[in-house]
Amino acid sequence: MSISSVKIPIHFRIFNFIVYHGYSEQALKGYKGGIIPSIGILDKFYCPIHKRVEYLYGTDVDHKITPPHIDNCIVTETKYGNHVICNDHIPDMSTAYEYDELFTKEFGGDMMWHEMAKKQGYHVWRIYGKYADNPFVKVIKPSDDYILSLLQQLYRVEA
Amino acid sequence: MTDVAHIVLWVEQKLPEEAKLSELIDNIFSLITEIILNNLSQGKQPITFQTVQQVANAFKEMIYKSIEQSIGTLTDEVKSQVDAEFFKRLSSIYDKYYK
Repeated sequence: MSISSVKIPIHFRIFNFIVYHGYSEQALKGYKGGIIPSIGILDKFYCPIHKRVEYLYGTDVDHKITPPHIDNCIVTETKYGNHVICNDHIPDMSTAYEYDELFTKEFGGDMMWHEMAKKQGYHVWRIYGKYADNPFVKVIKPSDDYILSLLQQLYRVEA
Repeated sequence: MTDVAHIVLWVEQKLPEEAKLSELIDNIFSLITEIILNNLSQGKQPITFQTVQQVANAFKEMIYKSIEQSIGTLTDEVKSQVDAEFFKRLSSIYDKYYK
């Protein structure tokens, strides 16, 4: 098989990837080391089951939490905290944002992250990057949900 | 959010089924190049080539995993061809901005 015949694989057809660089003081949480660009995914994705655009929801927590055992959620661990990413096959952004807010309050997540996302029109969860000394984000609580199981394949799974 | 934030808008673009992997790799490198150019044009600390390699490699690892999961296998042939595609583009970036 030659690369010229390889189609864009499924993960890159389902998720919206974002590449970004430059971080606010608040985003760096006191970190003074080197920074690198980040690769993240947006909340908005294409669901191949329902053949429509849907939205993930969850939160970004700046401290370590005990991963909740919710079937349709994954939890990842970053240098300083955790991300919770969930899928309920939600087709409208406003419902997903309501769930984001609930989860952000429940897990003591970063309200700035949530408010910024509402302003920008998208949430971002980092998969790799930002901290040059430890750019990896790893999955510490996986899920059997089809969409999330695809997503977690892109991380380092350690559960 | 940040200085540069670019999105690979596959969902909106409704990529044709036959879209090829090389288009994805092109898109990834155009985003990385925009970050390099943004830092250069705004007089910010330039991004090192090592950093560019790090981010490109992270994407490459994701592509390996995605191919393996999508097709069920990642042959040495495809892997070396993906490697070659990345190497070609990284070399081009090196020649343009870091030589």
